[in-house]
Amino acid sequence: MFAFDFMRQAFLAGTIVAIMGGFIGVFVIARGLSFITHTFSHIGFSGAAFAVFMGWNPFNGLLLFTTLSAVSVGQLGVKYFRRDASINVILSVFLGMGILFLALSTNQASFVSNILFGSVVGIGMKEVWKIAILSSIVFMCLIVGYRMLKFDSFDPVGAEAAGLPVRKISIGFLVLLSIAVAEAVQIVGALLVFTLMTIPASTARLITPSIFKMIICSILLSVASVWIGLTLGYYTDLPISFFITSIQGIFYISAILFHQLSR
Amino acid sequence: MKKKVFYFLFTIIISVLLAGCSANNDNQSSRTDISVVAAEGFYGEIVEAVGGDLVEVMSIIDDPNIAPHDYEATPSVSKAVSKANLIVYNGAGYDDWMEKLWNASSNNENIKRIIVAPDLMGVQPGENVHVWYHPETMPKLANELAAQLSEIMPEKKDTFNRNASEFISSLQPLNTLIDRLKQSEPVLVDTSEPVFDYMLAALNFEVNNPDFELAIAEGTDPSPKDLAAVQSDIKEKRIAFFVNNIQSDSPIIQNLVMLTKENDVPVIEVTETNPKGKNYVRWITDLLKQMEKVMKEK
Repeated sequence: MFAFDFMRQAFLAGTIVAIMGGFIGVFVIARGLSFITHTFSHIGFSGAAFAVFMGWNPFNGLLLFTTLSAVSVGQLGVKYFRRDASINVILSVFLGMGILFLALSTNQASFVSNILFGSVVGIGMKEVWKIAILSSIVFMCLIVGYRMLKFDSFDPVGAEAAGLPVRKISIGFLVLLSIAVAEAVQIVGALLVFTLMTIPASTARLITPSIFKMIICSILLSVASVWIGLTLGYYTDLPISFFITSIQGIFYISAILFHQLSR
Repeated sequence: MKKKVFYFLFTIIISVLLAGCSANNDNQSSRTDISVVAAEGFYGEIVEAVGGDLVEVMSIIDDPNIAPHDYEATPSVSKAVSKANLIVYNGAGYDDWMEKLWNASSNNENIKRIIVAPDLMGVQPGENVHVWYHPETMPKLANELAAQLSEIMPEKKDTFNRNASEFISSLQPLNTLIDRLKQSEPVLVDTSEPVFDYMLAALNFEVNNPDFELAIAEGTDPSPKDLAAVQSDIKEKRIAFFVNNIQSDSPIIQNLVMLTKENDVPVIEVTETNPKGKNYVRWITDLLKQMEKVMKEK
């Protein structure tokens, strides 16, 4: 299996994305933002349509739209209960704009935007480096802001009372997340980014109440699913994303059963 | 209890690693053939025609139910690409996973590429990608294949060149049909999607609803004005026929097809990729015959 460079690179990139997704996912789940990781890839599509209309490189459109939408969501709803509504509004508006640019442009944007979505078995060494650098930046940002982010994510009321800049934290985290999603989607594809940034953290939350252990657990589950998924995909020749997503599903359901039984 | 969870995960990770390291002996078949991977079956067919016995071709998408632009590559496809001498794909965004698979291979300077749309037909991303319906594409591809295969196996250059010219002359009946069908004056038609447009242009048919067909292809709603224009084209019999891509279906198109029946406007049924069991020449010939019949009845 490791005789082929594409499998080695898939393992490397997959592991890196899994670690990053497992880590950032804990905050995504705690802040009630899981829907937005999914939203970003849709908005990215609109961004690509806009880029095609303007004659730009589609990736710039994707990055512009996801960052812009992250800032807008942050501005509209800092409060937890308003966040869901803000995401809905921003998603609808940006998707609508995407349809407008598709209609305005005389080019076929849907084919162009295919370039934006990666495939696990099509990762080159250059992409491995790219995802490694991106992930280290995300990792450093998370570690630097760890205390503030932890406080604000798990105790928003307390954080505000303590005088933390909650709006800045919220927007900063959303922008970081949007860039991470935009880059990772290009390399491993939209479905895997969404899965790895949400499910392992949700599962970990059922296993342990401690935030640090939650992060470790989430990363381990995420890495395990990628490794098993890649191995099963290699030997059965069925799509790898199917295995990774269903393994994540199994992990989550077992954690729920485990949680209920232990109570 | 938490410890148990950690041990569980640890065991899984270790066993995966072991499985990965041990089961590693893919038998390398000892063949001296040239190995070619084609993204679409209709290109693979031309590779077979030009390469003959000297070439082993793998066509990835050879099923009309799979849309190449929605395809997710499996590991065996990636493996085949990394071992290939030459890969052939359409490009221009239609099947760019092939480019990614090529990129993932570290020895890719040894894997030659023919990217049909941009390299042979000058089609850029965003333009109509369905170049295989252009009558000039396959002859150009055959010649390019002969050139590339000859670089890989120079001693068989004559064979490849002969096969390519044999293939091109096998297209002669098709070209005769195209010449016969070619309209002297531009004739208006409407289409459901831009899949067949290169052939229509070659036959001097003019697509009267370019915005509409693009909207359907993009999966967005056509504007009410564009839809009304297509409806009046049908009702007032302004078009010679309606071209319907039967591989994709939408309620808007179904209603339009009903309208054509009520108004006795003929429908030409096309597919984006070749139907099962029909080779390229047969597929295009059948389509053109369908069109000839319609034009005769007029």
